[in-house]
Formats: sequence, structure tokens, C-alpha cells
Amino acid sequence: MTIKTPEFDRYLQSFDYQERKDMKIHLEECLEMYAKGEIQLIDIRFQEEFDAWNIGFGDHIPLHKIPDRLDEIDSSKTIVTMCPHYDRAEIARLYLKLNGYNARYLTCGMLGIVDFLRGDKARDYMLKLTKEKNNGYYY
Amino acid sequence: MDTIIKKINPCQMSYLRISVDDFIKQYNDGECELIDIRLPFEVARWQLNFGIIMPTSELPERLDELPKDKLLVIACPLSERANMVSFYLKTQGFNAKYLMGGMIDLMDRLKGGKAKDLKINI
Repeated sequence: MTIKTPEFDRYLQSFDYQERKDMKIHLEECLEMYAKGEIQLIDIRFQEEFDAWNIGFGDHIPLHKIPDRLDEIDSSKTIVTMCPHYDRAEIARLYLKLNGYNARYLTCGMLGIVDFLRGDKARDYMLKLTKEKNNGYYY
Repeated sequence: MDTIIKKINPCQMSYLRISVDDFIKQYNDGECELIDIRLPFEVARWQLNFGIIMPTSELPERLDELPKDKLLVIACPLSERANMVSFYLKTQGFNAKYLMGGMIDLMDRLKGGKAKDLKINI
């Protein structure tokens, strides 16, 4: 089975050191941009995994549903895909990139997020999200 | 490509990737070949003494150099780029998987006397 993938061919042929950087996003930048509303954060794990635990912000579209649910993806934002580590997030990122979206994957994965957002860091970040949503005021 | 994405399910991640130990076993049995897809500067710095070197950006033009009858195990230092390339090769009709843990885990596994676990033809 061979599928013609001209856009995939072109993407690989132009793959360079810059793209190697641009395909990824680190946690700090991701949280900062997400709070400013510049990112659509997508958990791409299977439904069972999402049911077991989730991080309480961002969207959930399982990897195998993405091709049918592209209309839920906001092309005006940077799309950041995430899974527990980064294997599947990278597949999702690649798929979205080839479909014309500006997509990056979260290098530390969701385990990195939960490890980082502990204690006062979780409190401060969630307050920050509320503040951004309410134009600078806490409610 | 949509078909491959939709086919991914929780029990079948082995469809996408191979562990270092399984790679060593299948390599020794002549069932797979390692493809190093790093970019030229990286390869110039250090390389493995087995497998095929084929930088990502040259790959679409050089597909005819890849064996069709073996599993292609795609490797980069960790696994993110290998994942992407292995996906590409699947769309081109190859049997490809990415190496879990990447070249770094493989080199770590081939330490000391364990280096002999991999049968290389030199």
C-alpha cells in the first residue's frame, strides 16, 4: 500500500535544524502562551485514559478522532498537542502540521505538566488563567 | 494518512514502535535494518557502525535504497523525529517502526560485554 503524500514529501525535504526546534514547545512557554489565549491545548489520549485522569484545562480530542474533528481546531492559534510523554503527541502534531495548522508538541508531556503544577504553582497558574479570562480581575 | 491515524488504538502501540531488546533480537535474525535519520551535522559528530544513514531531508528522494523485505527500524537520538519518519515510510508502503528510547538507549544497552549482543558484520 503506497499513499501519495506530496505535502509530507515536501515537509521532510525541507526539514532542517530550525524545524527541529519549531516542532516542539517547552512547558514554560506553553503555559505562558496558553494563559494569554494564544494556544489551543489538546489532550490527544484515548477516552479511557482521559476518563482516568485529566488536567482540568485545554481540550480533549483522541488521536484517532482528529481526522474527523478538524472543525474543532482553531487555525488562528498555535495548536499544542500532548499525551503522557510525547510519542503520540508528535504523531498528532505532524498530522495537524501537514493539514496546514501551526502545531507543536509539548516536550515534557502531561506528566511534565502535573509534575510542575504542584502545590502553590498549581494555585498560582489556575488563578492566572482565571485572571486572564476575566480581563485582569480575580473573581 | 487518515487511515493510519484512525487505526491507532490503545492495545496496538507495538504497531508503531519497537523496543531496544526486540530490535537487537530481530537484527541478529536478519529481520530488520536500522535507519539513522539524523541531519548531516549530527551524523558527522558521531555515528553507529551498523545500519543505514539517511538524513530526513534526503529520504523522499532515496526511498529506492531502502530494503523492502525487512522491517525498517527508524532511529534518532530519542524518538520524536524517528516517529515522524517511520510514519512517512508507512505511507510509502514500507514496514517501519521507530526505536523506543532512540539511539541513546540503544548505545546505553550495548555497554561493556553486552555490546556483543548485537551481531554486526564488519
